[in-house]
Amino acid sequence: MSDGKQVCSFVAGGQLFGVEVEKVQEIIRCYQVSSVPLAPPSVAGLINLRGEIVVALDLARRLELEATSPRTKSPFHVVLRTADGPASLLVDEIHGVVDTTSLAFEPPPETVRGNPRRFIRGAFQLADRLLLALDIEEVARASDIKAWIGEQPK
Amino acid sequence: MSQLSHQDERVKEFLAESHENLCACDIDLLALETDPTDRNRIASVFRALHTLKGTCGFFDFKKLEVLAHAGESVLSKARTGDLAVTAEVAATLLELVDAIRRTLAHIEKDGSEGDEEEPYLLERLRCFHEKKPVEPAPARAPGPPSTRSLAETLLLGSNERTVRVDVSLLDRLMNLVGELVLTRNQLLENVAEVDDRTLTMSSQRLNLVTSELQEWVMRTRLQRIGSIISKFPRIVRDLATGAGKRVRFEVDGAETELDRSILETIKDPLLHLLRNAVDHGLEPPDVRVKAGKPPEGRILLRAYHDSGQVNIEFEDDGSGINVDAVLVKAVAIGIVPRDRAATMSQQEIINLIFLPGFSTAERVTSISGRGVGADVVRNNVERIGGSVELVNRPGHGVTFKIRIPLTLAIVPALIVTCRDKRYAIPQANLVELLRVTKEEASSRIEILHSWPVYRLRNRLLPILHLEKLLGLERPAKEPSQPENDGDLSIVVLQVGERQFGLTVDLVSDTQEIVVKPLNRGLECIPVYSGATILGDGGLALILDVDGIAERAGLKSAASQLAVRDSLDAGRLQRATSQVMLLLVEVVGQAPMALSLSRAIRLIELERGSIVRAGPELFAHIGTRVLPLLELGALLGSPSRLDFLQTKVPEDGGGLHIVVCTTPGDRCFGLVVDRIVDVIEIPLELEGCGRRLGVRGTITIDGLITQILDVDEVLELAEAKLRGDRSAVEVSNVGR
Repeated sequence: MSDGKQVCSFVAGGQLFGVEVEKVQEIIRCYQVSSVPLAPPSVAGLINLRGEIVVALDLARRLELEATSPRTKSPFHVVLRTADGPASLLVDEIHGVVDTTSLAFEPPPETVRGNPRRFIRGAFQLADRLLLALDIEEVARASDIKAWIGEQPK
Repeated sequence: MSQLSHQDERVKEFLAESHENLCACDIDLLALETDPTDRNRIASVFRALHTLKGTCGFFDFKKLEVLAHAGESVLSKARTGDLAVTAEVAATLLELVDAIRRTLAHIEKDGSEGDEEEPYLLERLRCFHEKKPVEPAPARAPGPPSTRSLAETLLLGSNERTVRVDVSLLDRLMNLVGELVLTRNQLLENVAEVDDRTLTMSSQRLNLVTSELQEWVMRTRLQRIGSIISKFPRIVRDLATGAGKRVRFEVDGAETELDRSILETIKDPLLHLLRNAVDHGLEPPDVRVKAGKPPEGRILLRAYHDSGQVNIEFEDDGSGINVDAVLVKAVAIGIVPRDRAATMSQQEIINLIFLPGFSTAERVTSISGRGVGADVVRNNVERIGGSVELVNRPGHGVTFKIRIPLTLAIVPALIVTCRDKRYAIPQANLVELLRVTKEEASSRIEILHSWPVYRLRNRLLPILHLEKLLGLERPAKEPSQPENDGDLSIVVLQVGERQFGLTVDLVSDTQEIVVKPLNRGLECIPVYSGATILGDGGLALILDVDGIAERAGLKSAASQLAVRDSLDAGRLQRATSQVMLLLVEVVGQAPMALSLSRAIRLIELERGSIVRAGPELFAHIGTRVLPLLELGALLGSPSRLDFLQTKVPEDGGGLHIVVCTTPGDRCFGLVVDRIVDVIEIPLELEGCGRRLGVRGTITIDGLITQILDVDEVLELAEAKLRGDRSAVEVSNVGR
């Protein structure tokens, strides 16, 4: 696995996730999110990122995680560089950059089941917890949103 | 004159393109000298020569065509692997490229190809092609024609005045200008609050420069309309041959420029008009001659800029539209009620051809009339904020006048608020704004089945609630927003022939917005056409009026509105479109239904509020008196209202009244026992059951249902009233 050594880590829905730092364009806070009625729940809304309109995804909802604690009042936006341009992930907390060079990389743990499993490329063993490596292209994939919209009753 | 300059323009384009292609050939051929097996390079050179040959045919450059053809033949062998591209072959091909360049230079100089022949070159190429041994090239005779050095020839193409730019680069530029426009807007908003002369002046300067920049960058994205109509002459020829007609196609203003995206949208409508003109507009030669016209028909496409818009006029000199025939057909297929037909103006009748479904009937030929009618032309044009007008000159042809905006990237829009969120509505769809007070709302907004309608100047305007549409319904207990005090703001919108009202919480102002597409799948939500950044940096979703009408189910409902009068037009045996019927129950009668379009309101009345005046019944509604007709009694059942005078009915309940309009726009109420339902079905009348007041029957849910003719019911009632009166008179005389 040719993973970047440096991983930006953050918490959403009580779990620790990581994305290679070079895939992270920036992290911003307290941005006004403009909701999009009729969009799937995993879409938090749109943000105005210096003149560019970027879709903000609610990571916890996207991964179908049970909300363990009420959402923090001012969540962070992790703006990702994806193949289709920037996308933002709404997360609860930022945990800093983790150097994964000497960490063991394992397949996704058994606890991650069903649909969300495809968003997780694997897990790094930290001293006290697991760091789940996100597949950002999968997380930001448009086809899921399209499918959800298509299924809605007219 | 202009014809000639077009030709010059095209030749220039051809020269520029050919020089570019030849440069690419040089590079490919040089590469082939080192790697003779590179299939891609061989194909690339082949394509370049093929293109050149094709264009030469168009301009009638015979010599160039021969040269290009010779090279192409050799390369086609090489492409199949039949011939190895030896250094000798590659060198000869390079020589060919130079020969072509010399000819191009000649064309550039005086328009002719020059008389320099290339017999040896052609002979050698032929030998390669036929795999014959090749004679060594004789030393080129020194002389005036070939004194130009190779380097000089190579540099010939470099004095161009155009640069080829990737479209994505232009799009990016346009985006950036959009940003600049937004920033400018923000700045102007802030500057307005600051009292600083220098700042105001520089911001005004910025304002001007930005506007100008916006305009010029927009122009870089423009394309000549000629680029899409260049294929039309050929299409005209084929169509005309198929229809046995002679047609001349002329273009005036092919250099008129339009935004790329708009150009794409109008391509099909123009093609449709072209087909229509050849097929229906122009007459066969013998008919034309009889009418004193030249046997050859003429179609003229004129394009020009006018007051920030593009005008495209599409004119033929055919027979024009037979207004009477249109009207007859409109009545026959039920778009126009008989009684209205007599009062319609010529223009109104002509505009009927834009109604959906009008062109589908009768005129089906192999070319047009296959259901893609003028309505499609209008819809496509209106979707991009344009308009279509039709000028008819009976006996002398038809002109379609199309007006379209220059660009779609920056559009004026109305900003509205709904549940604290702002939305932008493109002004092209906007008809008017209404503010309805709470009191008015309760009296003028009526519910037809579950569909709220607003009575606006004697028209029923379907009302949609934006918050409901967006799934944002307020919990009942939550108070409405303070700023709308229970008053309703209705934005009247138009898509094609349809109008509807959209209720919003607040109407703000209009702004020039920069349309940005939605992505990540959100573009699939049909009610949005994009998003934009407002002056204060906030975001607004742009509403897609067409998508809203579709989502609300208004489209199917509204297409019935167009056909709705057909129900009352009578004589209609078959309507292919769906109609909405109000099902009612009258005790002692088979189920009955009437066209929902004739019912303007449904009310329930206490029996006590019904007044009998002689044989006539009335009801007090507010301050108005509504004449009532007892449907059952009119159609032969015993009257149920007789006991009004005798005893209180056992059920004691209210009466159901369907309020209908007369053709003279007066109202009357039909008394029925029960309102059953509103349904939407294709109206295909079964012949049986026809009698005065009943147009026929259809089967709904297995039940034979009588379809009422409201006008005949009215006639019946009047006849009965007259009968009652004469009966009274007779009995009086008898005494």
